[in-house]
Amino acid sequence: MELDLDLTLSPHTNSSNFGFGFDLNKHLDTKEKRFETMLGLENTEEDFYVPKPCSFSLNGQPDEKDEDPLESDSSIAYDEEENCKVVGWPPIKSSMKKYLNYRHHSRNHPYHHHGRRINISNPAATIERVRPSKSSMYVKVKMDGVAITRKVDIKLFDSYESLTNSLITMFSQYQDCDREDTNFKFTFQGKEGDWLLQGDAPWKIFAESVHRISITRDCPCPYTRLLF
Amino acid sequence: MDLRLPSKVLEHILSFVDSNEDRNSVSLVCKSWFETERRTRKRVIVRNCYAVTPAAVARRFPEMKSLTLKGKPHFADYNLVPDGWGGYVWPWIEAMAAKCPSLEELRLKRMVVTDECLEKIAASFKDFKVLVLTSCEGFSTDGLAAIAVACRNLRELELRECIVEDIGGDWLSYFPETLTSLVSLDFSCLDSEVKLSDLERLLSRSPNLKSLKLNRAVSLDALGSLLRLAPQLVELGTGSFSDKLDQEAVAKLSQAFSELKELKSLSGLWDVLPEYIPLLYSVCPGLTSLNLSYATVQMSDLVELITRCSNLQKLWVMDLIEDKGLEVVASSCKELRELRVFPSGAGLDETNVAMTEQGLVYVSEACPNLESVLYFCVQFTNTAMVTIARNRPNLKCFRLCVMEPFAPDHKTQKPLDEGFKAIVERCKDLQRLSVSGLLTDKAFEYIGTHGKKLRMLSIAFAGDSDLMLHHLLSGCESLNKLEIRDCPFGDTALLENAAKLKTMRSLWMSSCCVSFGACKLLSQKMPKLNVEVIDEHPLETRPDSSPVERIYIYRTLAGPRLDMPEFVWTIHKNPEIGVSHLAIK
Repeated sequence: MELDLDLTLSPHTNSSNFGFGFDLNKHLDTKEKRFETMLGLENTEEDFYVPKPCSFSLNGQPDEKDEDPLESDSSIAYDEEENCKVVGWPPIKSSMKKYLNYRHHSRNHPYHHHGRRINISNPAATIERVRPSKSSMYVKVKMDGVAITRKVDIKLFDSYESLTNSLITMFSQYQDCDREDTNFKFTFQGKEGDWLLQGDAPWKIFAESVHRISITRDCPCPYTRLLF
Repeated sequence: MDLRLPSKVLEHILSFVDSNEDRNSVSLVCKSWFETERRTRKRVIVRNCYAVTPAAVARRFPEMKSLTLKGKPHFADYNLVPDGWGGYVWPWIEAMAAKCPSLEELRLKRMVVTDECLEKIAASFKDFKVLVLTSCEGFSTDGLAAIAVACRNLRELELRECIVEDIGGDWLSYFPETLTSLVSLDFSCLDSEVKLSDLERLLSRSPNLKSLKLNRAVSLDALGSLLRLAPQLVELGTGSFSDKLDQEAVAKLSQAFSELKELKSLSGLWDVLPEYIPLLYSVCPGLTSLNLSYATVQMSDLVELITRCSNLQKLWVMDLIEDKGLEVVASSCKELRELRVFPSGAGLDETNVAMTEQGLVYVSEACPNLESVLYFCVQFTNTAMVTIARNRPNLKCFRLCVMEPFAPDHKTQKPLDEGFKAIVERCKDLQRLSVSGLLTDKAFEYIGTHGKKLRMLSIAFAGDSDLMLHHLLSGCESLNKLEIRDCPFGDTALLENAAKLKTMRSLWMSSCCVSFGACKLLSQKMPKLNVEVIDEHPLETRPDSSPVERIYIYRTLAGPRLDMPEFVWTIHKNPEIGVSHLAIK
């Protein structure tokens, strides 16, 4: 089903993109507890808050399919590349987000950071005399079979390989496909809608003109294995 | 005996009536008063550009000198409104160019402004004086050049947090040598460098310049020479505050700052280095407004600055200030009216969180004029909110953003219902409220019961059921704007309180449980509302029970808008659609 949101989380749940990747696990726990209580399961902790029963589904019926009840309720859209961040949360304007991102990235390795915090006690040491990076350039990435389009900042990469590897890593976290088995095919689209071939232009020029990326994969899916 | 007031007399009387709210009342008295009022209104404000057509506004107020327009809903600031939704200013400029060529001032918020728009403004309004664009997008620095070159009497050009296609800094050089009327210039949101010599020349011939906000590309070195050319500044936004300067340059800059005898407002300070903070000491005592939202320095440096700002009324700062720093704010800034504390990202994972609810409690205790708060914090407690409410019943705006969604009171693990109850109960003049953290039905019942003066309410990740939306819509008498995201509110409350929506400017709901069928039904019931379903998946084949991604409902006299993109649906796109029977309890 196209709209299925896979709520399994990336390994980076505890790291934060300058602190804003809130731990979805924590909040799911709370909601899960509330849901359990709602379904009438025993809850002996007296001062634990017990919500009034409520209906998440629209017609008062329990979900027909045996879906995770949280899925039908959750329509949280995901954005940003590294963590499961929620769109527009926390609610700060893009100019400030852009600045905080710049400060965060100027002291961390572009993709494999683990959310190192600003070192408050010694700011002089952490403030690198880095030339202010050019404003980020976010490019939409659509993976075959994944409902949510992701966005990556193309300025964080320096080669086709680093880009494609990172994208594969990002999507592998959410799909059942074995990375080794899968044959990924990348298509790059420029600003005018023209198609760019991987490796055709030098990286710098490519990075300036790429506008959209789409990925198709040839994945020996567990179900198709059964058919043959 | 003719008891009517001669229109000349009425006109004269109305010239003293400034507030638009009063003028709106005047226009309801009778036809002649309506006529006199509309012919004399100079300042027109349209808070939802789709509530009325440009032609209607132009026709009604032919003597308009100043027009203020707002476009996208507030949540567009947080990327919740897809690109291409709307908010185009072009039709307005076209209409005004035709009917109100003596327009002098244009103030736009969250609108799409293209270079063509800017060129048309430059070409159509001979006496154009003021252009203030807040959170706008769609134009490039070429458009700015068009304004600069053509508007001979330009007084204000302000770009506040706009997204501009930055082609280069040349636009500044287009201000003609004959332009000497500049009072305010704000290009802080632009990225590229302007030529220092162009800027210096502009400042030299602008004796009336009171407000100057530079962009980050203007170096600290350049700042010195600019300040020497404009010692009369009342508002200053610096550029980057981090170059390495030699002793002499530092001394000169310090001198330049001390010459700013009129300075009341300071902002910018990007990348400020701790060693340069003392440069600002001389202006501190005079400051009423200080924006440190980009000053990522540690608490002790921030405190050095703030202790010297005894007249501060407005402070925007990052959470690097910590509780201790806010304690200093409390003791030093007795005139404080507005406090905003933004997240730096540093505090979320630490077990030893240096900025907590206590910081805000300190300020609420000691600052008697505090009436507006925006506070980002990882967690909060009910006790703190109760204390704050008790200390400051004069709060008008309380926006608390507990950054961890569903976070309960971190001491008692209970929901934050009681805290918000205290806020709405005690702060009887509260007009704006943003809630967060773990909230149940109760919280909204309290808000509905006590929030009688509440005009704007923002809710995220809260509540348990539809009943809560019902409490808000039926209880909050003054409610004007309601924006909700990720709450399990659904059809029932919305449909039962449909009439309420006519008394409000707008309602936004995203990632909630409102069904497509309810949207259709609401559209049919309420023809004076535009019920927009904003959903990136096609709707025609959707069953009525499926939830929609976002809805934006607003009252309007203009009918359906003509510029809807594909992903915005209103019933006018498919008027023949029927509504299948919904079981609404």
